[in-house]
Amino acid sequence: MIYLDNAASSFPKPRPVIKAVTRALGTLWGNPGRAGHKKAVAALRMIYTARVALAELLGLPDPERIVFTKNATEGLNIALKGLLKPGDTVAISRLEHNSIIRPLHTLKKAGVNVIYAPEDGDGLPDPAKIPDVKILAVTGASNVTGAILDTKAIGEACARKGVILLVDAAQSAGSIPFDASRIDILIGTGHKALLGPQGVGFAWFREGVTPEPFMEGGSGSDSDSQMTPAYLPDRFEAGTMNTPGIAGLKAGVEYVKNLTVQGIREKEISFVSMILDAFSRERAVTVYGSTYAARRASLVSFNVIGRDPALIAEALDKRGVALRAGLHCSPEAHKFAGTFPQGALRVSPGAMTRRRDVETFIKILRRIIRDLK
Amino acid sequence: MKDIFLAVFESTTETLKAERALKEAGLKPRPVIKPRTLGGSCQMALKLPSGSLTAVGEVCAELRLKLGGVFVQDDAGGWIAWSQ
Repeated sequence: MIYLDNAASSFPKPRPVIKAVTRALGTLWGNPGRAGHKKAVAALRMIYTARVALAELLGLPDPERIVFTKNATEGLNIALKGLLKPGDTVAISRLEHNSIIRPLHTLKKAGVNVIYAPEDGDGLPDPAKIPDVKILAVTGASNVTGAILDTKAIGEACARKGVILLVDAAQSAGSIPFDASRIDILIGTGHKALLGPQGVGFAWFREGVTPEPFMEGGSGSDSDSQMTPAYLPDRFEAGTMNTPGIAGLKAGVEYVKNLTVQGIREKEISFVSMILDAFSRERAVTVYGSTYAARRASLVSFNVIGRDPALIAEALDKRGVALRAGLHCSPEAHKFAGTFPQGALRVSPGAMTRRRDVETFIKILRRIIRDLK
Repeated sequence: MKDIFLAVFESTTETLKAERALKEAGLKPRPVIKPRTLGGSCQMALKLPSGSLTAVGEVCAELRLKLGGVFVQDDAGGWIAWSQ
């Protein structure tokens, strides 16, 4: 199979990731933080070193302020529902995923004001026009148009205005170098560009930014108190952790660190360039987002004019090519791109994609288009 | 008093952060199961060589580690707060 749906979940996983998960199941079976015996400490130590590795890769201070979650969605819910109160205002872009849109829809009913930040041409917030809000919650890279946030410019603008900047790095952490120095909340997932397994994500909160937890329970700490610990990461890690998942994520982070994020970025830009170049010569194909590969995340959303994207995806699937068709859980982004409600096809190479996979995909798509005529 | 010292921290994560920092400072801390009499805040404590206690305080202060206290075992096996 030619797998080009890395924006949904990366594949194949590097061998060290698979080994780390397997090894964790066999050796790291102590419950981290729940005891002081060797096996519990071994699991805890692995989790701690995973926090350190992730913090180093992403340029985040205070690894202990990295909270492991089951995915980016959980992290976004912790941040948004834990910080926003009735009367607060949050700004978003038009490119947000439902993982931001849906929690905010619920919060709106509770009296939180949700507005769109004035945007630049790509649909992302304009750094010169940051509104006076409590939080600006924005994607680090759109999963539909591929537009990339300038975290440095946005971060500096937010810092000047005292706005908390939340970046959803689900599509950027591990594949796009970015400046995290002015980000206040960084949310990500482990199973995309960080090459880890599904079921593990993370949320990082700058010191001074500490939401109320929405899930509480045993943390292995302050056990004589009915109160959830005030300190991180314990505040948001109630219940037993996904130790094998975190072991896999750690291995993925180390794999990415060896390749370097910049190296992965260059490889992915070359693949996106190939795709954009091929599509520019196909009259039947419409591309959404920038036509410059360096201005996009590693994905290209497109449609074959007059054809249902699902049918094209099915035709590709029959020929052994996996990519995604539809709304990609981002209906607002599709409205911005002009592809709502039918959606689009999305081809997304990853760090493990081979050049010949992209070449074969292009050939097969051309054949499908030719057969449609 | 016995020559056994334990440093306790706010959380298990903080304990491991301290262990790492202390090792980097050339000390030899060892995670152990924390005696219940020292509170339920965290399951672990760091066992420390007696000659390193001043350095422990300095490293923790420099790295803003949340040191809950250093305790020394008395002859009856109980724990008392240690001070220089």
